[in-house]
Amino acid sequence: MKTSLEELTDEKLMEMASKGNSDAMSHIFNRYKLRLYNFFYQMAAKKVICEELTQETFYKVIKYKNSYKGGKFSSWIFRIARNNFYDHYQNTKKTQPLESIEFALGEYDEDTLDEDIIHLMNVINTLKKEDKEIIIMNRLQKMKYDEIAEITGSSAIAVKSRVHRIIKNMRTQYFKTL
Amino acid sequence: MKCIHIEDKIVDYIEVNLSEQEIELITNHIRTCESCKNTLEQTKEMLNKFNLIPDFELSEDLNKNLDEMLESEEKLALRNGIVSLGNNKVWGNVFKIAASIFFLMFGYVARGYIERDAQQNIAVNENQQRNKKLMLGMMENNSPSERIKGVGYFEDFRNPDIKIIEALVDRMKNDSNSNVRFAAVEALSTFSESELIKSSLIDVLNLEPNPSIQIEIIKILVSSKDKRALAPMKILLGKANTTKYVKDRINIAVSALL
Repeated sequence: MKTSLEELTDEKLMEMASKGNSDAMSHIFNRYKLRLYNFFYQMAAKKVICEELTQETFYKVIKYKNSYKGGKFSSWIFRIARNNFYDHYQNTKKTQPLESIEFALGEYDEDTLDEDIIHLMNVINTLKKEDKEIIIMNRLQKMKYDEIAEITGSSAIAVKSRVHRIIKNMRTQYFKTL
Repeated sequence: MKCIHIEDKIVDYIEVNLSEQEIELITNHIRTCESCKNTLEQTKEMLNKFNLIPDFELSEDLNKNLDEMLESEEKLALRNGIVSLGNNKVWGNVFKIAASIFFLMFGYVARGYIERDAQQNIAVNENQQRNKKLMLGMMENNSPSERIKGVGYFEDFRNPDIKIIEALVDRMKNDSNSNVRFAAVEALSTFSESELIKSSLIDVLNLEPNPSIQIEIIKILVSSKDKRALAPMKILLGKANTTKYVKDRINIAVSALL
């Protein structure tokens, strides 16, 4: 009996895609497009930029498909996404120094959101960018500590204790200003 | 357990990532400690709020562009009959074996040479010559994956001579397999100041049917800031079968070059 592509793991799909199976590639796109787009949105806020970065990431997935050698697929694709993100800001550094770029949580329509959600987003925005990235990956993208460690080149234990520390600081700030 | 230790474990406690014993200790502590109870409630509340931050849907444009990207990937796969050796196991294995024998012989010959040449600089020089032969040979191989490997050896040459560059340009222009063409473009991009390479890239832009390779060439031409690239880009822009994301790229590239 033939297994349908929906049931396959990301890793198996990518293995097939890297051998030229375009149906498998199409499934990969569908599984990850919303996630990646929202990751960029949570990091960078500007719709046009997020669209460009999402496209660039998938373009690289196709381009480098032969270099995928197994391993956790989500870490692989997010590593590409993250590099794209930082490259983008590196390239615009001439006009805008990296530090001055606001890592805003997006162009959300504030009228449609609860006040305390907006408040939480503002607290996230006060984090320095390394912390913000980790919190977004862990709490919004629901990535496990070891996945984040693989993406950021750290260890799972280090990521975990950092996430806990950030949450602790955020809690103080969240309830202080609520 | 002290309050400070409780606070460090509060996320794990909420997510039940602790041993039964630890959970019991914390539960008992919280029952009697107002401050820790407060910490627990607040952390829970805040973590729940994370789940309420909404996701954004993709715009129609983005969806369309991604579909186009997939379509061109699909066409490519069909045209190439898929490079994967899996499709053509017998020949794939024949080539693998042929390559192994080739490497064995090469290793044997190379050792002979090295033993003979005590002077290191001569050895280095000869090594370069042999690598060149090996590389040029591999680039003519029937198997696309061997040709890609051959192209890959280009990285080893700090000052590639004209023969090597010409062979790579030939792969870029004429190879039937897009993965080989792609590898050749990438290899050449490291020497994009060379006039021969630059003008070849400009020539090939209009002939190259693969969008991914088109984009790669456009990127290189933009970074070399050669205004001659504008003409082929404009032609590509006018072609009906140029995909939208390539056109988007060209528009950015044109404004960068002007």
